[in-house]
Amino acid sequence: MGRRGLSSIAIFLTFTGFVVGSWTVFAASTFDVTVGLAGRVVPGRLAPIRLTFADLPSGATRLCITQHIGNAWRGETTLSYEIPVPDTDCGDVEVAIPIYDAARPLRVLLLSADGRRLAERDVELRSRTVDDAFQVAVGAFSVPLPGQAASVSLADLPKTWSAYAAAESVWIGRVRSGLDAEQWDALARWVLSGGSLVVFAGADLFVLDAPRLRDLLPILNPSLAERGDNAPALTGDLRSGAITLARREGVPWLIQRRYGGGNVLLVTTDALALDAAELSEIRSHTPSSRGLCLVGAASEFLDLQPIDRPSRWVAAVLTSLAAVTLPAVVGRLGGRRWAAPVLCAAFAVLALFSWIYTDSARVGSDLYRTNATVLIEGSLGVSVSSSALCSASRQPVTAGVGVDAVPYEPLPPSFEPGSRDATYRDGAVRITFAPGERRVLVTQSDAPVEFRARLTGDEELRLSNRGSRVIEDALLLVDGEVLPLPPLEPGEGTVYLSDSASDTMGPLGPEGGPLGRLFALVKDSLTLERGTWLVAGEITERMRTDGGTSAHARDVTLYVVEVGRD
Amino acid sequence: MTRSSALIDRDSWRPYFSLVLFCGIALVLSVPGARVVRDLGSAPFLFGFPTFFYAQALFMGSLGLGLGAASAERGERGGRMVVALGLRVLIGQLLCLPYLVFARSLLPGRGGTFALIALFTTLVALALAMLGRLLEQPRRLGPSLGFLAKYVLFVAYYAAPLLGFPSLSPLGAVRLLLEGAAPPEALLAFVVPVALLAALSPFAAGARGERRV
Repeated sequence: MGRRGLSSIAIFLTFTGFVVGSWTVFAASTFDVTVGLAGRVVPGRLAPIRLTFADLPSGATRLCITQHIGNAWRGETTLSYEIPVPDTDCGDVEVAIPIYDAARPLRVLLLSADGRRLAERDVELRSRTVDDAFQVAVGAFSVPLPGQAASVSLADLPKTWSAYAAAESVWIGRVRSGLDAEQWDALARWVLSGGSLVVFAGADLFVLDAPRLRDLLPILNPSLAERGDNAPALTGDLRSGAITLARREGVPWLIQRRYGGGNVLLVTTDALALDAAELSEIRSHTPSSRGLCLVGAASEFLDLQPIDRPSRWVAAVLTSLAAVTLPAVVGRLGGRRWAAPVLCAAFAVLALFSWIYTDSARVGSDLYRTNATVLIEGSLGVSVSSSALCSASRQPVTAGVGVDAVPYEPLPPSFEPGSRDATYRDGAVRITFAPGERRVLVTQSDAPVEFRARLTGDEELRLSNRGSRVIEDALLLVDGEVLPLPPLEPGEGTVYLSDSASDTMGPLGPEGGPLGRLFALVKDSLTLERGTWLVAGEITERMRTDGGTSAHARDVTLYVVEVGRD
Repeated sequence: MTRSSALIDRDSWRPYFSLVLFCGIALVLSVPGARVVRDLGSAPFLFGFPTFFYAQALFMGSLGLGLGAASAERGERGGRMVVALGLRVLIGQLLCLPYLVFARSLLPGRGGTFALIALFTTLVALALAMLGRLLEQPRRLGPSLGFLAKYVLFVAYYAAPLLGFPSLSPLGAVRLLLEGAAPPEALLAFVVPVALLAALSPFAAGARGERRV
């Protein structure tokens, strides 16, 4: 066999080894993907994606979820989200991502650190799509729930609150075992943001019982009692603000309580002890969940964000000085040897003036960003935020926009192909802005609880500000009545409400300002007219340069804190 | 009495004045009128248009022609003429320095681009100074024809390439630099003034001038 024959065999063996090796890696790595809340997705809303791994290859570092959106008429674009995989080779990852378009499958890739594809799955969405929010049932009920309810098993109940975005209300019936703490926290956060939770907890309370459930329930010190018809019913002390909506045999049967921006309904009998008429009655009392939408507010605030630029008048003065200095110097010294040095010195002074004048506050930014954020705080905290961005550059600008969760972007009815491409990775979305282009990103995330407030008696408000900054604008809202508060200093403090001035001043910040407008919007959306709320707000400015792109961000933040009462 | 050794005198300051005045006006126009982000949508074509840099490219070239003509009038020759013209062009750049510093706030993060544009406009001005010196030398074309030829060539250099090869025109080259051209493209922008300078300098240095008394 000649040298050429040996070379051919070596190349063949190398190629075969490569193919077999790749196949082995693909075959060994298994991961399952489940998409949607109870297997359903609503286009334009976030949906949970759970990836379950077994025998991950050692090089697997991240997952890339890709959506191809649009068509030839509307325009096509690709959005991708990269998520780190857990260190262990088996386990779950849950993430909530927005579903834009169900026409094409969702592609999930398992990638190595250098971007090599180790495995991939395509998830069909078309059959899972529903048009609007739906009722979600967890556990068993005596009869099927009225309406188009979707059942979800306890194991598939999301642990991320934003994953409930497609739920109209969540009903928790009889379950074999309780929800875990993460699931309760996710539900509590969702309710805090405007969700609607119905808990059936007669004798079943003791299966479901968890500290977070106790926090959610409209009653304190729950105990099991027998009604007149010998049916077991949960009783307890009504919390402040809780309302009994219906009674059976003289015992409260359906109790409602506001929890942040949402509602919790407690049915004091077991889920299996109800008939269809009673379930319909409960449904008629159950408010639909209300998501807080700040897209319009963020766009409006961005419109009013000042442009960083020097003054035209100063440029005109500089020009005048230069135009006067030149003939003045030449007229007096022209032709002499030191005319040029004197002229240079005079213009050097003008250059120094320019240098001093054009400080960082007057340097134009490539990108302007306004974040409208509402932090709703009870015993947990959630953040709902919209970021409106505008490119002020005459050239395309690529920037990493920092976000605190996977963002959703409302897309226009039609767009240029590829113009809406975006990649989410490591807490930032990489976006290329066309000159003058505007974009809006919406995020929902967990937030630390920065404020606690408790009304002791009628006159005294105990406050705790765990942040490090003084929040200048604050007020107390007691059943719709506005009581202005002094600036909230970091640490613990007490405010005597009798010292508060009457509400002749604007509701929050200067009249017509972003804080006041955001407060008006939140007041309506979360129906803050009932109950006691601490509302505080601040506007902060940030300048940031990322890879040659300078961005000026303005944060308009509103804290809505549920006030406890003694 | 004026001395030929002076870099700037009462007779030769007008080209500088044009540069200072028109670049200043261009700077004023470069400052965006928008006060808030909403205004960006109402005047998208004017916002952030780098008028100043185009004006600088144009009037530095005009300054070069004027300095060349003045040099011919003074009868300057040889290496000394080249050095004097170089220094006069640098004075022109220095007169633009207050504007250049001001303009950095309009286009942030472009320090390197500004330096390249300053170098480019210096080379263009020097090349056109050589051209002006050659065309304005006595007994070559006559005063009227020399003047006409000078400005026809100036307009041709600035405008003609815009029809086909914009980067060969100083205006196109400035645009290329402002848009952050890749190094080979940026190099291409410098080829024309450097080639002109290399080609014209020996002739201009050897040309006879008309010594003013």
